[in-house]
Amino acid sequence: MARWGMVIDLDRCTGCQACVVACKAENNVPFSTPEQEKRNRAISWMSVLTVREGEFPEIKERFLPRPCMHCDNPPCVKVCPVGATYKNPEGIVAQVYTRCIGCRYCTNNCPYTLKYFNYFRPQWPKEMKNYLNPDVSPRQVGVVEKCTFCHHRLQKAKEKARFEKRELKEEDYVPACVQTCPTYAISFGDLNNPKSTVFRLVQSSRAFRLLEELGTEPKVFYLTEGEWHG
Amino acid sequence: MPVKRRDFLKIGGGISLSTALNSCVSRRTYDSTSKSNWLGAVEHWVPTVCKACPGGCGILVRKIDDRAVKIEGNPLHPMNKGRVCPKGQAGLQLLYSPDRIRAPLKKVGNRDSGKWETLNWEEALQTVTSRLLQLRNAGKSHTVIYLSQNSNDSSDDLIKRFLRVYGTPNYLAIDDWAALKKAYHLTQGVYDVLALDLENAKYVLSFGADFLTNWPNLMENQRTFGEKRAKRDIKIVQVEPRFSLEASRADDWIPITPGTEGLLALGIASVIIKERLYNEIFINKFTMFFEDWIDEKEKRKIGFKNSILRDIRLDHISDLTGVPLRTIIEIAKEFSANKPALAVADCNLSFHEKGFFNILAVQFLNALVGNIDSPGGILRQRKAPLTEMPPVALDDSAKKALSQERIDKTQGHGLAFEALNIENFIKSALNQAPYEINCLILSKSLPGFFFQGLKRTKEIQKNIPFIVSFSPFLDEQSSLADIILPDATYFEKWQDGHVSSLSKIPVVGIGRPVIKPLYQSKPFEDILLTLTKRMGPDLSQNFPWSSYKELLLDRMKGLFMAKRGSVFATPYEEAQLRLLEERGWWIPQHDSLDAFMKDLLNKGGWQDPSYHFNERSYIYQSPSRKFEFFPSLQPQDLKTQFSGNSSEYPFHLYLYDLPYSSEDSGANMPWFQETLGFRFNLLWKTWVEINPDTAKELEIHDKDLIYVESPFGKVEGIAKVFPGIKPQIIGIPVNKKENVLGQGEKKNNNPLTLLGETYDEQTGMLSWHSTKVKIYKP
Repeated sequence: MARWGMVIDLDRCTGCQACVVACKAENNVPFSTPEQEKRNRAISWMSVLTVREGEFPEIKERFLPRPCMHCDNPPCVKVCPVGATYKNPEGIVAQVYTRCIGCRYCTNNCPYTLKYFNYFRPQWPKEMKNYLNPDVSPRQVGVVEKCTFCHHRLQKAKEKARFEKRELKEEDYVPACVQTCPTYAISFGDLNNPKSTVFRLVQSSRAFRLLEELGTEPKVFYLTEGEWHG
Repeated sequence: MPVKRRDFLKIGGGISLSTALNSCVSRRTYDSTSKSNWLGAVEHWVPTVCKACPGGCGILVRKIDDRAVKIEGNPLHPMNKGRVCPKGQAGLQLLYSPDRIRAPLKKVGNRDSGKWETLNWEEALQTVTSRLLQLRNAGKSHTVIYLSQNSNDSSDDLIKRFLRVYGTPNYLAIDDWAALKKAYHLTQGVYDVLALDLENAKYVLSFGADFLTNWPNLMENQRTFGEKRAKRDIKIVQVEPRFSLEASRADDWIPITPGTEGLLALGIASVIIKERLYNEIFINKFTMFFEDWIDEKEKRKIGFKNSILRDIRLDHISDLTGVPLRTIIEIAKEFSANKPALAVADCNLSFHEKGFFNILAVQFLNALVGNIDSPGGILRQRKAPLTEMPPVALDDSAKKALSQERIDKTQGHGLAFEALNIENFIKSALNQAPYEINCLILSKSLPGFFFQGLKRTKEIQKNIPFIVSFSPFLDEQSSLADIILPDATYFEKWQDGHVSSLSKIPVVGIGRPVIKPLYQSKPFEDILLTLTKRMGPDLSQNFPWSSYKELLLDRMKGLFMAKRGSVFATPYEEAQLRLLEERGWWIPQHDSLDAFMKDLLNKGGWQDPSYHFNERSYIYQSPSRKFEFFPSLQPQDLKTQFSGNSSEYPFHLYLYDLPYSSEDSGANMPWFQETLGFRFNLLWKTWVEINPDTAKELEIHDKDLIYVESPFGKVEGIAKVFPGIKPQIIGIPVNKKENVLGQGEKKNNNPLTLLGETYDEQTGMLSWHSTKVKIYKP
């Protein structure tokens, strides 16, 4: 069984935001409004955190793209009273919108704050409904949503492989952020497959995970930039 | 529960399988109005060219039936290799923007009323045709002005041809890169930007260059950066007043006083010369005026070397630039020791009174270390061999009009000096001299913010009786017009896109319409061809094409005939082709033109991956066929004046372009706009960057609302206490939109209104960095 994971090389990341926009376009995430900004309610499944250190003129800035960490030991799943969020056998932490009752326990329990609650009804101008991706269901008000590693792309890839009567190959399944990254900073693949790029990168001495000490076992790994450590 | 889920997935899988099968086999008929049937939709991928900026990246657009739903990169396109920048990703928001103009519009009543009535195309075309013909018949065709921005495609060539045949020298294109082109022209005789071989460079000394975020070839640069950074194979030193995105990626950031970049370059040059670190062989062989020389009148003239040795005092330079002496010497040593080393000037250095000289000074560094026409150096792209359009037949009226001076007093059509001199243009438009403007045509690609930066927009508008716009959107720019003929967006038309000359290999992307034009919009190029047909045989005989598609495909034939390059290919094929071409071979891949065209349209374009070095007459086109130093460049050429009294206005205003926004603000792409403030945790607010010490002194806290005021205007913003800016400088981004898609209150909070009317002396570019301001809390 595959165990999907992601490795983000911070040395390569330029904070260009292509992953952020690609994710919104792929997953039918509406754009935010100044009103939402004021109330801190904007949704972005992938977001780039800026870490700034030092004082003028010796300053450093690092960019940290953060999708859902897809923990092997996910704190959000433990508190969901209705099984709306769960970890599937391939390690993807998924969210079923129709089961979600909007209690927000999971958003509060996520140490990475990467789950988002729909405080407002997601809205698109009439014309913009045309670009909605039919593979991803738009959410309703009052449910929690998050990065799914573009799970619908995995479904599609599996069906395609089945149709062509072959095994699923690792490169068949690429999330939108990985596909668009201009600097090739994001790699994606099966952490259980010793031949995969991510398997090799994870062995690197530069690899670390966010808030590792919590024991959540995230499947999103980072490669440190320079001498910086997590 | 797991059982239930699996069942659920099975059902989902079955449905999607039917989708997959469907797209492979045949299309089922279904009722598109019924929601239960939308799963039967058919998926297509259409290759085309991204026009969100002039970069010309190749994209594949995912179509579900008649809707475009997602953009991915074209993996075969050499510029972006399957990747897309955030602006490109948000492209569909342009296509489906609610702000698009549905039909031709005509302003009713007062020009400021903002009231429009719709026209049908027949009426609209008739209005424009009769107006243009009337002017032409009265011998005033030269008073028609076309204002635009270069878009690197055949559409540009078509409009230039139209204006020429019609009889006006006034094709005015705003070109941020004009100063750089002029610098290359002065030193190497080439009026174009030259390519920078970052891929092979070991050391990059960047003078404020936004090469990762704002250059037309940024996708290539991003990829190169990623690869070289991962191998730790490059050192980047960023010299810039502000800690920009590039500075944060660089190994070293050297804060500098705005506008003194050229002085620093001369300082570095002086260390290189004093310590004899320059490349003597190159200088002897390929440069002129380095040593003293004797001119035609037998007079001894001082060369670059001695003028630098005589005029440059390092301690003085250190004071003016704010860069420590030790740092200047260190950079000079590193720059000359790490080969190949590139000195990179950005066009934004020219947004300054002495901007042109700043850029020129940076170019000299490359010549000093001999990094021209060599791997990792300054290269010149071999342009793609598109078929030239047939020569034009001009009638007498056109000939007479073309002999008129251009309104912005630059050298006009005959030469390639097409960049608009904004300063002269404004003066001419206000004074109605050398002649009045009777008709202003605003192109589809003219940035909407252009007029916001001009103080005198209203006065200029008053002087022009007829303004036509081709914008697909109702924005600041098109609302100045009297009549709007809505262009289609780049998803709805035939188009090509040539990569910028900043890239070393020529690439031509070609794309067909992804969907039919929405509403009543029509491709600009086709409108233009229709206009020519209506304007009589003198004009129409020069436009034998029935549609723009025909013209494009005609031009592409040249690529087949040229016997070089190939249709986009896999990396393996590309490497093989490069090897062959570099040894003087070429293998035809298509038997016939038809097969070539078919392949071209399917793959999305043409490229020539090889680069030939040592073609001296191509890279140096100056009279001497050498790099010519410009020895009369003096440090005082680089001294700046500031608008504003220092005691009343204590801070330097430093305006800068946000990522991906130098050509177009992306105002109609909310997904893109909301990412721009990510370094400051802001989505829709514009911000003002203040050094922590300054903020402490003025008791300004992070996120306070503050006003920034210059002698010319006042804007408000959210204070951001930012250690990445010098204490005397206030940084404000240009082009940050504060409202989504025209919603919300519309107030003019554009930081360009803070600027006085100062321009670069050489290129007439608006000076962004020479205004003084004060800041205060409300």
